[in-house]
Amino acid sequence: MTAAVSAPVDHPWGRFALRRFGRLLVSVWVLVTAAFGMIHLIPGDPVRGALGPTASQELVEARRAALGLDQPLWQQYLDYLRGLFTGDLGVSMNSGMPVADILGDRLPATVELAVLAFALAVLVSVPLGLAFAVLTRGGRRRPLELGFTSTSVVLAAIPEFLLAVALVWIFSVNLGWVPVAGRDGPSSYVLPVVALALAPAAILARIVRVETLTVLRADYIRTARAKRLPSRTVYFRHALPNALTAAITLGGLLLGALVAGTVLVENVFAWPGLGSTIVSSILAKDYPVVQGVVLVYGVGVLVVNLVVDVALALLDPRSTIREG
Amino acid sequence: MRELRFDGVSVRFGSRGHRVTAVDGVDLTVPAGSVVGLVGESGSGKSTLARAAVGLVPLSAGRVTLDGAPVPTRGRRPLQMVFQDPYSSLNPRMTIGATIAEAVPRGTDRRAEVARLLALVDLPDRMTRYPAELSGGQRQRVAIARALAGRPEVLIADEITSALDVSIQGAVLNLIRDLQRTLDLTILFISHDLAVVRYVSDTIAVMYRGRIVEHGPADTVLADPQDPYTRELLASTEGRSR
Repeated sequence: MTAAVSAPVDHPWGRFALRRFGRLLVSVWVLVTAAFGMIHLIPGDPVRGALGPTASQELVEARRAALGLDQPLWQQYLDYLRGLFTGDLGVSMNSGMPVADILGDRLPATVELAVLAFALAVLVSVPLGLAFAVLTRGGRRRPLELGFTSTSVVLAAIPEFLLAVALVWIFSVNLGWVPVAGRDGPSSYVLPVVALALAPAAILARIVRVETLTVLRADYIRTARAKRLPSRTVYFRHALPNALTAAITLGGLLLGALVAGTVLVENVFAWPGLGSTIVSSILAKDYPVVQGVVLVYGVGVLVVNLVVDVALALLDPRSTIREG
Repeated sequence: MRELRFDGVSVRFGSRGHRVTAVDGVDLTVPAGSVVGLVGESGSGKSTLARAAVGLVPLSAGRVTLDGAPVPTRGRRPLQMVFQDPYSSLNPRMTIGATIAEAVPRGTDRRAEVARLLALVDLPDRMTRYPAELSGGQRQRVAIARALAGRPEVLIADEITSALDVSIQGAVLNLIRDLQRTLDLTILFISHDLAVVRYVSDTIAVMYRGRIVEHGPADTVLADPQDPYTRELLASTEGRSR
């Protein structure tokens, strides 16, 4: 064990990764505590709220006891933490199903959506940003540049749910190419994935273009041209790797935002994922489920950020220093 | 071994109404196998003249020839340039071996050629290093090896020591002198520093406001300067070294 830990510590990157992982644990603890506190900060009695004003006092008391809400606060907190470590996230107030089962049921659909949308955004934006950088370098083709920047800023500014509704109206209602909603076969993925991917793709393409423009002005690009390398070697081998560092940082942040975007998009498309679950359980005041979904979303975003930071430290050792 | 010749070369920037003449009718010959030092203050047009020779800026008038023929724009480049800043002229994401290998002409054993070039600039066994792992002087040697990879007959060195510490300048200058002798290169050596130019050059040309104001054997120009600007330049250098 000691040997396994001390080996990466010798390397600055290993030290950074360990320290960064420690920070993740602290963040997760804060998240867990906030999720726990949520149920107690909500005005009124959550059990009474869930069961409705007509429920008998005995029933409310019995449910409170079942949920452990009659225990002292610290006892509840410890029970909650113990539950997390054993995979017990409580039971749904409405269906009586364990929250862990509900999450396990819904998580894959959301992950699929987020991963596909992110992959689409990257696959579209990197070549697009590079191409527009090459076409508009050194003040060339001003009208094209104006067209690109204005189109991308508009696409990035449209909220996902509005875009989703517009896509449904055009491609499902009027053209009938793809299903309106639901998760049934490959064609049902098209609209939710596009609705989620469009804004991040537009932002990422802008960043890739600007970064590539900066790199194309660098002296080592002049050196590469002095070697009379073919243009594609100059762009793909010399410019692109240097332009992608900033794009990776931003890509990580966008992936986090994209996870949040699934909440809205899933509800428009009645997608059976965590996003539609959290909204329906909030409306039903099913707090254990809400807590569970909040935890999953939170941990998801934290882990994505960790992965991006650690990957970036590998690519660009300077970022480990900035951590201080 | 080739002769580099500038005939009535002018370079103008900007458009009507706001026009700057950076190089103004320069005639200069760099004889085959010799080193011509080009000195002048910042903005005198030295670097623009060099960039015009390799085609990085277009000529407004005149021509640049190698042994009487125009500098070829395709295929192998008999004319190579080493740039001023060794920190920014190497791709930070490529090993120096890969950077040099790219400049080696096709059809040669690239690995062996890179090793030979690195040995030539006194940097053996550094093939797998990244530029960030090297010092400024070492990077400038890599830049020189990169330029030599194209098997040029004429080398243009544009302020190659001005970004380096004084102690490292000497080593790079010695390297340039040795390379010039062993490879029999024709070199146009550009610097604002008269002491540096004096050390490597056979003849010295002084540039001032886009024109060559004085040109002659190094000893003559330094011992008996004719142009008032050269005298001023010389006086400032001596004042500094004292």
